[in-house]
Amino acid sequence: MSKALPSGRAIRATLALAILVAGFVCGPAFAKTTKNNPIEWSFHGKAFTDQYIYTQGPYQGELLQSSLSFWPEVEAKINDQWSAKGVLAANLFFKSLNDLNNVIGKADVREAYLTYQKPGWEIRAGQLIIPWGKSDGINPTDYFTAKDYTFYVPDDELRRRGDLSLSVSFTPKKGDSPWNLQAVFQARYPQIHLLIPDTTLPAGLTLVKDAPDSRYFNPEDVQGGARLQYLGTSFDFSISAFRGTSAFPEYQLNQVANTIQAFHTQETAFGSDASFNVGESSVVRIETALHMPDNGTDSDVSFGLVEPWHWDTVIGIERPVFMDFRVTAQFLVRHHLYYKDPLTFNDGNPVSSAIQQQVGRYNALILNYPDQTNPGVTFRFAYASDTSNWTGEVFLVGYLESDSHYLLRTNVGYKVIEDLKLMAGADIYGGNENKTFGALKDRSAVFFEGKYLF
Amino acid sequence: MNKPLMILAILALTHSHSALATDAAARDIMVKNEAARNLAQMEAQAKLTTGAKGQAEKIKDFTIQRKLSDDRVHNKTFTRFHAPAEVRNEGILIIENDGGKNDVLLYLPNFKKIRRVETQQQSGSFMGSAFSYSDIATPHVSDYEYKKLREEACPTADSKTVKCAVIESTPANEDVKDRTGYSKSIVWVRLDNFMLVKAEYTGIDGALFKKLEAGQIHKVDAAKNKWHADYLQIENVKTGELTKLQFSGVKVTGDIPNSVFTQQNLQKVN
Repeated sequence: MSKALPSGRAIRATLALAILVAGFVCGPAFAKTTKNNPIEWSFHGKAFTDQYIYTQGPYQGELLQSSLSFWPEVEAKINDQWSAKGVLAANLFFKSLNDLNNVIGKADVREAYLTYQKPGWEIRAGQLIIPWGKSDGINPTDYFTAKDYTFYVPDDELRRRGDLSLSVSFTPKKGDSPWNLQAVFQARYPQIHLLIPDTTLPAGLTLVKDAPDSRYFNPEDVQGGARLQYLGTSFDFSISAFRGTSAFPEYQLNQVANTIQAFHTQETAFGSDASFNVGESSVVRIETALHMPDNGTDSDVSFGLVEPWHWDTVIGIERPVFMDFRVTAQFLVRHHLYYKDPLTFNDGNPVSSAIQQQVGRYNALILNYPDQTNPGVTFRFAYASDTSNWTGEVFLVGYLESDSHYLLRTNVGYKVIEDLKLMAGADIYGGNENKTFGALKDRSAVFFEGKYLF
Repeated sequence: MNKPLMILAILALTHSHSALATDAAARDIMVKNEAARNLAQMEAQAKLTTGAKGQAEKIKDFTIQRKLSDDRVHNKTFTRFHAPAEVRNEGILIIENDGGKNDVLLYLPNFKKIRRVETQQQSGSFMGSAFSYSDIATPHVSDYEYKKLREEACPTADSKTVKCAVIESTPANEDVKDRTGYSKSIVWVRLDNFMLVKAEYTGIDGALFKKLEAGQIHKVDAAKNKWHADYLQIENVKTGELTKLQFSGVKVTGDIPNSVFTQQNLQKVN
């Protein structure tokens, strides 16, 4: 057992912290901080507790997650050029989807980076979260972050994860140009942790949910991308390119170990997004990306077992209604340029073909590609009272295949005092049980959250 | 043209002229008002205090930077919030364009993303206060028609010894009306320095909507005869909500780089 060796995550977190500490220690020397211009420190953060209770299935009425979280942040402005930031995510799970029986404590370095700025330039290095894309909730051009869906929390952004990265941003004319170019290099791809339905495992196989977390940096894991942005009058747009590894896990059969093991496919992607005002009261947002996994064409041996090349597009409109409400409606479509029903996979051996077909079908189920073209919609209806003391939201993601399926997220919040907010709501999965969200109906839950910001 | 038609035409012209005409004296005062308050650039700390009668006050701290665009007419305004924790590091960039089709971009630190906001948002609440975005922006003389109602002693406590012109202004077009959310306003303008000290805004429904008072008016640029009101107070008459905006450390000299008013600067916090 190699328990003496630290995990890859720990190594990367240590490196990120080392960059941050080096910045705090050495930065002032390089940055010519003087007694008259000391470092400006600021400490902030959040403490929150979440209680989720199953509403369906065999555990109905039982706790799904009971957690206590403390996420402190420290920022240091060293001078006009140099600054640093660190965010620690410390979570104590009394019960969680990953372990229903034991109390687990987890502490991750969520962010830890140094920033250097001069007119027209911004360079950041360290543990970074770099979310791209203008659409609401579903972002085809979000190449560099991942979400942990097994962490139940009403604020979806708290699930987002980054990794050790370098970001270089350049704006011509010493920052005065409407054009901006950003290049990102990431030492290793972040991994999405999906909710996995219990009932859909191919019979006789054991699931290894997550891909192995490499202890060492592997050149193949390094990924990079670039984005060119333009801000015009009443509109803005960007185009982007990416070469790296998909954050979404897929599963492949290990016939020796009799397992299906998560892995992540390398891919090339090109994308674009735009937003513009329509009339006085609406904003339209468009985001699209072509994802080309390395093994995703009809000439590949795994064709039909993993997700092939696909083109994701989101078109949406947001507008206020009445005084305190906002509506965002989006149309989504994922079209596979090549497509093969997993149940038609045949490697010549009837026994292994049958097993592989189940694995392929499993991938199609958890990643939602049951058909060549998958249309869907999202709808968000949000409320904030005049004083912002009361808030409420309904968010629906639905797929419009012949057997539709959906996720409905709702919440109502009340600010007890300025920095303390209580929230209650529900995450409801439903629809056809052979489709992604329908298969997760036993993961539906109601929740209560208390959050304090400081 | 026959005689009756000619008379009708003259009547129509006379009538339309009287309906659309801006009172020259009123417009002259408003031109001087714009000249007095229109700063080439301004930066300040600000404290926004909100609360309806009987409710606890809430305070938001922010920094504001404003600069005239190259056309010397439209402004660019950048606002960064510092407190409370819920809005810390949020940013708002307003770039004024012709015809009021302004770009309003919000930076949401929780999402680490910039979000374009609809133009109509300018008539909506500014950070949960009784101010709207358009109240915070600078109105332009050309956006309104004016009529001078009277002259009288200025109505606010620190301006009672000064004479004010009372002027009614109406939006020059529907765009301005939609953008501001006001169908009419009556403003009290000091006749010594041409700064506004009070305003009453009528909503689209024709009822009194908000009342504004400005104070702590002082000269910030002697050479160019520029003035600034460090204190603004606005009341939403319908809800009773009262918002106070206190500026401090107002600086109008130096050169704010144009790079401040960009998307890149908007997201330069975390």
